[in-house]
Amino acid sequence: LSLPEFKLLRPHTLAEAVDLLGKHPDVQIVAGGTDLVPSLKQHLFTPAYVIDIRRIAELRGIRKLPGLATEIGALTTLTEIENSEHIRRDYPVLHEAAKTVASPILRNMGTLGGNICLDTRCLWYNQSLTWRQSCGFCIKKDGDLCHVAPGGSKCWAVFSGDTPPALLCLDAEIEVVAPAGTRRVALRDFYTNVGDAPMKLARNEVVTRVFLPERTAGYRGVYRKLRLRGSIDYPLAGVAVALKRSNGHVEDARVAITAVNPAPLVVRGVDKALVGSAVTAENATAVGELAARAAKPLTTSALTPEYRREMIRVFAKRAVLEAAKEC
Amino acid sequence: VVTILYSGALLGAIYDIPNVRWDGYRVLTNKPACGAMRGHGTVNVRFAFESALDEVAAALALDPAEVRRINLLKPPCITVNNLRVTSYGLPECVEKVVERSGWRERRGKLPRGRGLGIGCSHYVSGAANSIIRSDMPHSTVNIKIDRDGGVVVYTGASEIGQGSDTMTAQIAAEVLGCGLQRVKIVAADTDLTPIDIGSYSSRVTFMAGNATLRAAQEVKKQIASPAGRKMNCAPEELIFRDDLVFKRGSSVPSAVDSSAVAGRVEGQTLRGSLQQKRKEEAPRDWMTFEEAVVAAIDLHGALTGTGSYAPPPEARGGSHKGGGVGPSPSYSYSAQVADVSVDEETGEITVHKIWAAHDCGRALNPVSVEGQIIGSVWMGLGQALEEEMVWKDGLLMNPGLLEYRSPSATESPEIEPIIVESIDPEGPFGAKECSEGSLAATIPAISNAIYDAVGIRLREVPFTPERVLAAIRARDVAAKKLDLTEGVDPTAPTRFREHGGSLWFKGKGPMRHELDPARQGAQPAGGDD
Repeated sequence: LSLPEFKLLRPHTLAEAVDLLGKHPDVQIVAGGTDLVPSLKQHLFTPAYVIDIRRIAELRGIRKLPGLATEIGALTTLTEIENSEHIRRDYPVLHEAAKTVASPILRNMGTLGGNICLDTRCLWYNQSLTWRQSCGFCIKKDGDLCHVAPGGSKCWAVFSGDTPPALLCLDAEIEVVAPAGTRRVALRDFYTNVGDAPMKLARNEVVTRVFLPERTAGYRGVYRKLRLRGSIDYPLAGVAVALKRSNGHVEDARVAITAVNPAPLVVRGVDKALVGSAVTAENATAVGELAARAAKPLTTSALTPEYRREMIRVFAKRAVLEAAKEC
Repeated sequence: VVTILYSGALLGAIYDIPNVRWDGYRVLTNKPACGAMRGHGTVNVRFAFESALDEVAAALALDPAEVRRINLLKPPCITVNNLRVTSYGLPECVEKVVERSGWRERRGKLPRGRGLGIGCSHYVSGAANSIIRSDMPHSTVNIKIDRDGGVVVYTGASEIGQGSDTMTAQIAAEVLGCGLQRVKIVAADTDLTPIDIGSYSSRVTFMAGNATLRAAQEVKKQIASPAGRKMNCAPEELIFRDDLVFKRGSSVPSAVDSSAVAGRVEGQTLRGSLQQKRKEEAPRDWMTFEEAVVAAIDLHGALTGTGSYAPPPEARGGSHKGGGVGPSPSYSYSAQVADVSVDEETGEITVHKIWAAHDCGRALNPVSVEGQIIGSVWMGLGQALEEEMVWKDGLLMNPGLLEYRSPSATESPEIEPIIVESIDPEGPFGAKECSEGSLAATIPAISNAIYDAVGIRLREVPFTPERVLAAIRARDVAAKKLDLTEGVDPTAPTRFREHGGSLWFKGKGPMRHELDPARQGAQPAGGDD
């Protein structure tokens, strides 16, 4: 396992970075490197250029834009989010999700932008070149078949980010900068649910900012994730819940799931099940049911798919009850 | 082969079992060759056996700790397959963990989903026969002492992080009554050191330790005879302690303040023994270690000694076929209690605490012993909860440390090591094995605790949450049936796994690339394993 040869570019400003992105089509962007570097070593990516954007100071930090939103630079580390009093108070679901990512060391390096743009993962994909060669590669990289769902032509590699379901619950938007210009997209329109092209993001585009709307500030939030170890592991199933209560009744509620589909998904129908009533064991169970129905886990990760779907059900139920209890 | 033979041969050395039948099979597969690993030959068997003992206890409505106590060996004894058991600290181990864990007060009164479980294990202190039966010494050690009082120990025992160099130095220093700082170890350099068959089988402290002990005693004898002459007494009357050699019963004149004395005399000895001789006209009651060494070198010309160890013939097993496997000069014993809780909705297991008592004969270095116990328990914890190699058509699905999960600090429980000293009659200063025996008790202790907590009996490691949940669902007939493991119920494996692999990875085997010749032939993808 050694890094392939590439040229490292280290711009100091966003403008410089965009300029480089325009010049070099065969490029990968690296920030914390916790996801990309192991993949480079496994030769999952063999770019001619790697742009290290860590020096771009303007993309770092959490800012409150009064009356509008909270802006988080894409280079803000997960540790910074975990330690932000503002995030903890106003967007607890993001705080919880950020603090469960991998391990403290990885959170010191990993960035929010990187977590949003995390490559999808699969047992047949995240392996060394020799390993992948020995089974004829897979549809996501170098091959033409899927070992997880043989016969199909879709890639099912699973999205394993922890913060995106929380961001989805908060109606987050992201800013994407490309040589052609800047666009702002709702996070829920960003993911494709296709394993081998998981995001609507061209290779020369970069996610620069995340916006959390004022509207969802103060929502109660809980994030629960399934993993075998208490640390380090990617989620094997994850549920984020954000809800707002008034007078003991739920005014607004969202549930999003991760690590069981090629994209993080907002569970539909949750508002119908919860809004306007108090949270009870019954409607929490109903939410669990809805979440489990949205989950389509396959053998991309450890543990059986049946178990992971079952845990989505249990965790969603528990997370809803937990979020309601906090008030 | 050895692991399978050990699995059967060691069955008799822990409880009193008058009849043993053991069928072992080696199965030829196309997976990589396997080898011996910590506690080999006891780990799998203890899991099965200790679980069975728990089931016996449940069926008879007895306390599981009591069932173990009733069936203890009565050493010294010879087991049914001719293993000689001498020191036996298991009764005390069981007693200690039961006491410390509050077993009697807490068991059965814990909240739902939480339980206590007990497991015991044992291990050899080195195999008495090294592959073949012979009289060849298993360890030989040379010791050389120079005029400056520096002790050099030449040993073939390899330091692999377990502390064998420290152990060797401690034994040499203890016998010679000199400070540890005098001892230098030259280890595992085959140009310089005599033969030692290696650091494995938990044999180093017992065998290389005994060889060191004997070499040091030989040197000590050579020092004692001229020293005795100088002090007008028999060599047997001399005591070696605190860098001094003195007559039994003599008052050592503030010489316990040995550093001052040693410092003063050191200069003299370096200037030569003649000068020193002149100074010591009158007989004295004591000498410093250097003085005694110089006197001995003046007499013998050189001060060297050799010691070796071969297990005694009576500990080498019976003459029946296969009798050469399993015998050891002594056995270590371990008992553990695990405090575990189980989430019945998710199948997740939390190990709160493990009390681990280990009979290591005499703890030559208590810190090392505790470290070995904690390490063994932790490794057992990994095997019990997380670690597993998953194969799919000859491909290891989890070749990296991200997917092959060893416990992280967060889920590692508090471990309370308890040292039990049974003082072995043949070990160096009574010491025996302490590095492998504890591992095998951890897995059944956890599994029995799970049974105590939620009433499910797991027969397969690791106890991943899906296996636990599947077993819980199988227990609750009324609960909604959910096939979590695709017909392969871990509690009743009615059919073989597709590839003898794990539950947690299923799905079809790899489809070959279309250019791969294997895909061109009539062979179905995946083939028959």
